[in-house]
Parts: sequence; C-alpha cells; structure tokens
Amino acid sequence: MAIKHNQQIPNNHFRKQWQRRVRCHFDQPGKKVTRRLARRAKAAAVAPRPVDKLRPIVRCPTIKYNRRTRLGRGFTLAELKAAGIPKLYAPTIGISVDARRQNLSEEALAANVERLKEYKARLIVFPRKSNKPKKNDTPKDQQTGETTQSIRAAFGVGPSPIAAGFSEIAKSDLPQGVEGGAYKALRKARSDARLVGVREKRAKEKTEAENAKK
Amino acid sequence: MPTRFSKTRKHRGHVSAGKGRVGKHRKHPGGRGMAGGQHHHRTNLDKYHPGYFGKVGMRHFHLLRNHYWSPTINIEKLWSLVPAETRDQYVSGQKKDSAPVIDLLSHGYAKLLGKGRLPEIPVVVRARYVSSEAERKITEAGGVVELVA
Repeated sequence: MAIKHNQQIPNNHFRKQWQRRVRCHFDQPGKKVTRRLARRAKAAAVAPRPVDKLRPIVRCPTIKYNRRTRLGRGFTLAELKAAGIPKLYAPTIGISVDARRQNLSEEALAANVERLKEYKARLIVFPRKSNKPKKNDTPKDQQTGETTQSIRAAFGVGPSPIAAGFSEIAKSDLPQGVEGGAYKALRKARSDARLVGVREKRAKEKTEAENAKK
Repeated sequence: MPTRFSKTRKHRGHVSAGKGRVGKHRKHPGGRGMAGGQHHHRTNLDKYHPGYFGKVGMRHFHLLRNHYWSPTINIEKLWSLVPAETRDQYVSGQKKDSAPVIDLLSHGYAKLLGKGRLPEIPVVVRARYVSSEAERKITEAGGVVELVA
C-alpha cells in the first residue's frame, strides 16, 4: 500500500526469525534437583573439607559500583607473599590464587593479608597418612575443633567498609571542609585533568625555546 | 456467498469490469510501502508524521552508562535522609552540641544540588560532587561539604 491517511507508519520486523534464538528450559525443575544432588554429592565427597575456596575481597569496578566490595577470583601473589603462604601451596589448602590481579591500594592489600592470616589461623590440615604426618600438617592435638563446609559462610564479605549513611559528630569537631570551597575544588580538579596534555606541551616548548636561545 | 450473487457476475462482458478505461486497474500505482515519502507522498508525511526523516543529536560510540553514573539529590530533600526521630530532635532544638553527618554515597546519591531551602542547622554532607548553589546554602546554614572519592 502506498502512504494514505493518518495512520501509524508500520515498522514490523517480519524477518527477525525470533524462533531461531529462543530456548525453552522445560527441564528447569529437573535441573534444580540435579544441581542439588550434585552439590550434596560434592560436599559428601570432600568432607570434612569445605566445598568452596577462600576468595579475596575486592572492590567492584566502575564509578557506579566502586562503593561496594565483593569476593574476587583469587589472591594476588603479593598478598600470599605478605601472608607468608607459598603460591604453589596455597591452592592445595583451599586458597584460590589469581596471578593476574594487581594490588593497587595498601588498604586492600592489608585487608586481604589479614583475611589470609585469619584463615590460616583457623585452618586444620589433616595428614594424608595419619601415621606419617608431614611438617605442614596440623599437629594431632590441634586436629579438633569445629569444621565448616562453607568458607563463604565463615569468611563472607562483611558489611562494606564505607561509612553508614548517617552518623553524628560533636559540633566542636566539625570538619574544616575543603579550602576555598568544595565546588571550586571540583572545577579545579576537572580543569587540571583536562589540561594535562596542554600544559605538558607548553612546558616542553618553553624549555625547548630556552635551550634554543642558548 | 455463492458466486451467483457476486458483483463480478454483472461485470462479465464489460471491458474493464468497473475499474475504468483511463486510470486502469494497476497493481501499485503510488509505489509499494513507504515509496515516495520525500517525493510524491511528501504532503501526507509532512502532515501526519513530522520528524520521520532526519536525525537528532550526536553520536557516541560504545556508550557506557556506568561511567556517567551520578544520581542527584536536592538540598530540600537532604534532611529526609536523617532518621525521623533524630531530625525532630534537631529541628526542635533538643540536640545542640552535635551535627548530623550525611553520607550521600551510601544512600545512593553522588551529587548534591541546590534546589529548595535548608533549616538553619549545621550539617556535614559527604558527597562526590556538589553544585555551587548547594555548597553556598550548606555553608550559610553553618554546615560543611566534604568531598569523597
């Protein structure tokens, strides 16, 4: 049809073939049972070891989520070194290791080292052969105590280290605030960041001009 | 409907069957679909679908909204972040030697804007960004704006 009258312009996507991309999951209830059984079987197989690994606390990426922390993939080599755990030994005692992650802040490093130490203090390593215990194994008299099957439950992410939304301080120790005004400081920071390259170039040209004079 | 009642019966024997000798019964005399939207059907489009042709705005490839995350809150709503009981105590003047500290980030706000009015009670606001008007109003009430990362 040609364009006639005051009608909506049709914009139908007849060639989309949505049926090709749709997947139905009628096995959902069955899968749930299967997963449950698998989890139970795994827990039984590894008992009395925990089913999951110790993971580091990391800060979420992007400006939107970096006020939160969560569990990361693995501890960095620096963290393991600081905690005094050999990097090849760590995965054998349920500590996950991530050789790619970097430590950017000292606070995060310290927090994770503390986490490792806490874990190590609570760790019980049973000897493979009970009549021939090795050096790293926990001495027999300490092989008691409660065991947990979930590290996540025992060493989960606590409340986020950022302050609670509301608190009170005495009027006498009211903070000073930003010198010259917070707004001004923000604008200054923005312009400084934008002018980095320009200023660098200007300074370079200046020194070059002075060198040429000589 | 049986064929004997249909109008075609009466058209039989007449040359163009009621579709006209001059104009003729052709398939798509105006073109198919949206043909001629900018040409011979322009009047209809201009009249009933203004803005159908053309583009608006600038392109921004690989736009990631998270990088521009900055929810705002106005001065007028600021005291609603203080628990109601504590707020009453401040407003009625029962609490005089302390000041509330409001951390906007943990309330889910990044920027403080300056619409509305503030009670004349000192308040410490921690925010990522602040507008000049908001800062002025806070400091005039005796409060402080702190910047956090």
